[in-house]
Amino acid sequence: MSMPLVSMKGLERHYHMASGTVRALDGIDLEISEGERIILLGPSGSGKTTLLNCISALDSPTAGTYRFAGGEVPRAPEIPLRWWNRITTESRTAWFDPLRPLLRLLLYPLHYFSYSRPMAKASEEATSFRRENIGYVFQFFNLLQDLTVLENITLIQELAGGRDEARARHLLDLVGLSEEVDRFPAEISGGQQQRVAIARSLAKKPRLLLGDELTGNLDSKTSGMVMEVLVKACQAEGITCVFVTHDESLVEYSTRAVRLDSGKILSDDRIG
Amino acid sequence: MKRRLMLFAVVSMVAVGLFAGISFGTYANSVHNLYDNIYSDDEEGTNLADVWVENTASTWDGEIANSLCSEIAQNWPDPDLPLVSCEPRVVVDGLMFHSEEGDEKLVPAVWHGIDEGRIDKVWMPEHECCSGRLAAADDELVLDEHAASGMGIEVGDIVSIGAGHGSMDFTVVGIGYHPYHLYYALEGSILPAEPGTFATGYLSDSGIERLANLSAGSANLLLLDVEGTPEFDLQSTEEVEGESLSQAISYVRQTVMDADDSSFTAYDRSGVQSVEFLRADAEGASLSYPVITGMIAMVAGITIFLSLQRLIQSQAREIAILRTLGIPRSAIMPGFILAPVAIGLIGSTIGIILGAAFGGPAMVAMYEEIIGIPAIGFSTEPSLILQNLGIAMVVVLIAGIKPAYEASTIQPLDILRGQNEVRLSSRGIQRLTSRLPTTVGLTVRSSVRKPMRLVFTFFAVGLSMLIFGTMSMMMDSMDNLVTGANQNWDAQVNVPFGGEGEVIEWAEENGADFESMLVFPGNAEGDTRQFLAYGLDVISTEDDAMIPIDLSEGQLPTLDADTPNVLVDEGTMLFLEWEVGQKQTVMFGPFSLEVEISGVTSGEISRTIYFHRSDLSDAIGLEATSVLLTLPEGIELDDEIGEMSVGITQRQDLIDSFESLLEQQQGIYNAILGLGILIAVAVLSITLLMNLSERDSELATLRVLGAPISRIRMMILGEHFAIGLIGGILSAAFTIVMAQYLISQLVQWAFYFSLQPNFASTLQLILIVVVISVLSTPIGTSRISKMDLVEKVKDLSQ
Repeated sequence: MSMPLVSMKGLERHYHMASGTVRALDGIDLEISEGERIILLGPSGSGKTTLLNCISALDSPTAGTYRFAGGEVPRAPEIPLRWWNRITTESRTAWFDPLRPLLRLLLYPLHYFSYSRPMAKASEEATSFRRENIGYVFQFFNLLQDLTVLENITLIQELAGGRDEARARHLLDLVGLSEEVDRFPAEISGGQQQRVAIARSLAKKPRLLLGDELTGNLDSKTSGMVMEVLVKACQAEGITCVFVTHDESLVEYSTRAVRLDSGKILSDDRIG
Repeated sequence: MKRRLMLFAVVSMVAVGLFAGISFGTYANSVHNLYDNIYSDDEEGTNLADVWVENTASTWDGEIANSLCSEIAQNWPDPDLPLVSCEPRVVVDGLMFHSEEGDEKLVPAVWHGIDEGRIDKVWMPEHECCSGRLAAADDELVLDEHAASGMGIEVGDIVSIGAGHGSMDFTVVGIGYHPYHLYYALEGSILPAEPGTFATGYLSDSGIERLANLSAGSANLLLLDVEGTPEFDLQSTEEVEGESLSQAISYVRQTVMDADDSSFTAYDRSGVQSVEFLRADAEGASLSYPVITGMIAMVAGITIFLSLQRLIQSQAREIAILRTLGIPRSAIMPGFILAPVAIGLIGSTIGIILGAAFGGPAMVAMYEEIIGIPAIGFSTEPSLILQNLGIAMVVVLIAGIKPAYEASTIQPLDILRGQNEVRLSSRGIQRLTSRLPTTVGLTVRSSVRKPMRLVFTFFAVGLSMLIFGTMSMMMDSMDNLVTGANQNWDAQVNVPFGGEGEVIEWAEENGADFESMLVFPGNAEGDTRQFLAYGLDVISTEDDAMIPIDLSEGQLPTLDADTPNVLVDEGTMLFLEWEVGQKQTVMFGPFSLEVEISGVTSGEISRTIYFHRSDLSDAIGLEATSVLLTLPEGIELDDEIGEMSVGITQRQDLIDSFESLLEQQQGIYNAILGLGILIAVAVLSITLLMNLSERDSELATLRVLGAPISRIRMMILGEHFAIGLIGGILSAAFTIVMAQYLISQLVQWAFYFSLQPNFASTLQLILIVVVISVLSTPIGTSRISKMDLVEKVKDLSQ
């Protein structure tokens, strides 16, 4: 049996709020094999987006293990910051407030070396992980308005280390936009922009493509068109997909549907 | 924190604007009042003369001087401007032989013969500065307070002085000031003399006659006093401000010319260097303080404008929701108008308090230190506070109106649909940068994404750098001009008419290089403004000439041409609208001479025309008025040369004066430089950080897609460098153009100055802006490093 691309065991993500601790992910066990197209479904607050963020290493789990292609995924270290927060945030001791800026200034080097620097290092490791493995498509496309369609793709290639205009053009051809390469995002429709975003996410040949409500801003006809393009492109490039949605009708474009609620997996069904 | 910092920055800018305005305004008003009081016709004042008739080549004997006064009074032309009195006086150049710690010093001096007349009296206010009484006997004098304090001389001391006829001892019976010497500078110099390097004294008539070896009643100056203080013609303007007085001067000129054939000149107070200089200084301060307040308030206004725009952008969704819920426009606008009003009022209050309590007194104290006269009864007037407050509030209010209007006209649907964030980039810039790597293209396009904001920012940075740059460039240019740093003489020995031979003999005996020089006042035909004609033996542009000429146009004059060739300084050319190649008639008292302008010189502060000495000598009948000396190592000027001269100017004293002035003003100079840079830092940083914060979602997208922070840092660095470079070049160009404009507004006939920006100063300006811009990069990138990508992704996907 081949090694799963994504392997999560007992994954938990907790947020400490004023009202108490929120368990956004509460013991997730999930394996994703190469070539799968997984749709994550669930009501608001079920933990879909948190799971997607943990998969992409944007967020770090509080507990549990997460391996990608057999390797450990970088995560932010757990560094207690209570002392810094006590100094920098408001408290009931008003007499102490005028001293806060001075204390912040004096203790900043300690804060920098004990917290900011390790966190920045971890953040860079996570960024490298994403750069090498992950493609991401957002609900609102987030194309750079100052760049043309083609340049939006070559920019990501350059930032990842190598411009390949031929591949950029090929990807635009794959998503049916070979005629629009020199247009600005503002000059094309929402559906077309999302197709550009898909081409952009594929530009550096990721192993896993993630989409968060990627059709949430489109009408149903355009949504279908975008999903067809996504499936076609992922198949052509051999890329595994995970996308989050509220839209049950998109299940037909997946090979597996995972339903979540209250941070737990309710069901995990193979499609077709 | 960032918002608090921005708020602090704009409040500080308003405060600084008011502080500067109140400080300069207090100074301007105080010196205006002070001069008016000193020159006034009442008992407390000195009753400054209204018309001066100066014999430029010799003296009138007592009989002629009195008859000239009678003739002038007899047919006085204007009954509306009645002549009150005409007083003959003697003023001579000379020396003071001053011993200081065993060293004998030859101090150039001007000696006045002043009886208890009614015009141009000695000013001895009831103040610790002054003491004693006027000179009565022929061995008494009143020493000017500047000289007395500079040389440590007190009432009762005996001083040794001369005026070309040996040295004589006089007892100091009083210490006071004279209206001609309030601004205490050597004739022709715009720098206040270093303490102890210049002396003026006020002798009795008999005293001056003894000193200058003159017969009783002799005079070389007639002072005319008319009733009140009439308007007089300003030399720097085209208009004739004092038409009545100008007509009276024409009448006086004609009367004296008809009665006597001596060379003379007649002028009003604008022809008296010290009086004119102080008037121009006070007028300059009066003109500049509203401009300074306005300029700094404008920079604050632009910053407020940009900050409010950013605030509205960040609150657009909340405003849109309020509008959707039915809140009227009229309820949204006041909030955004109120912010600049509050900022303006808080900043103004701080600025006014600091300006009135510290800035004004400090400026007046600095004035007392530099000018050396007591600023009696200065105050910060309520009208000055109101004027400055008005300027600042109008500017900040204007800055708040547009953003407030924009906030109130937000279309809720556009905001809620995100349509406001959709914009079409410039196709032209895309084409220009399409061949560059995409990262570089994006850097360039991001730099010019908000052209209006950039223009405002560059304008504000330009204004703040103007404060810095003008000061810096002026100091650079002045150094050469006032010290004559390129000249090669050590001493200028002024001689009585025909006295140059003795000085040349002394020079030859002591192995000194020498060159005779003839300096004589003149004016253009049909124009009363006076220039100095310099007759030089060697007119040369070579660096080793005693006075190297900076020829900016035309060619050097040909010797012994049919029509004498002359070089004219650029200030004279400008004010008289002369051109190279033209023939013009110049007047030396009653003598007229046609000259041909062969070239234009630059670098002269006073109005100057250079002749070959022989040409000038032929026209006025004098050989030389001074001898320039270059002294060999180990040779110093001694009493012998002192006694044969009527004044010696040493170039080292001019250099010391300039350095001393610089030292005195170093604090304020550094404060102004620092202020300009600080304001530029605030404006540029705010704009750059606003640019970055507007691109949060763009940069978050790149981070989520895997862009390494190092590449993003490089992009931002490139962007800031590009903005800094463009801003720096534009700021430098703006500074040069504006500084030249400001200076062109301030120059006078008596004080012409053209700014010559040098490469180093310009580069310095550009580099400062680039450095400020580049230094804000770490702040921007640290913000991106700290970005919570989980939160950003929520924004991008919800």
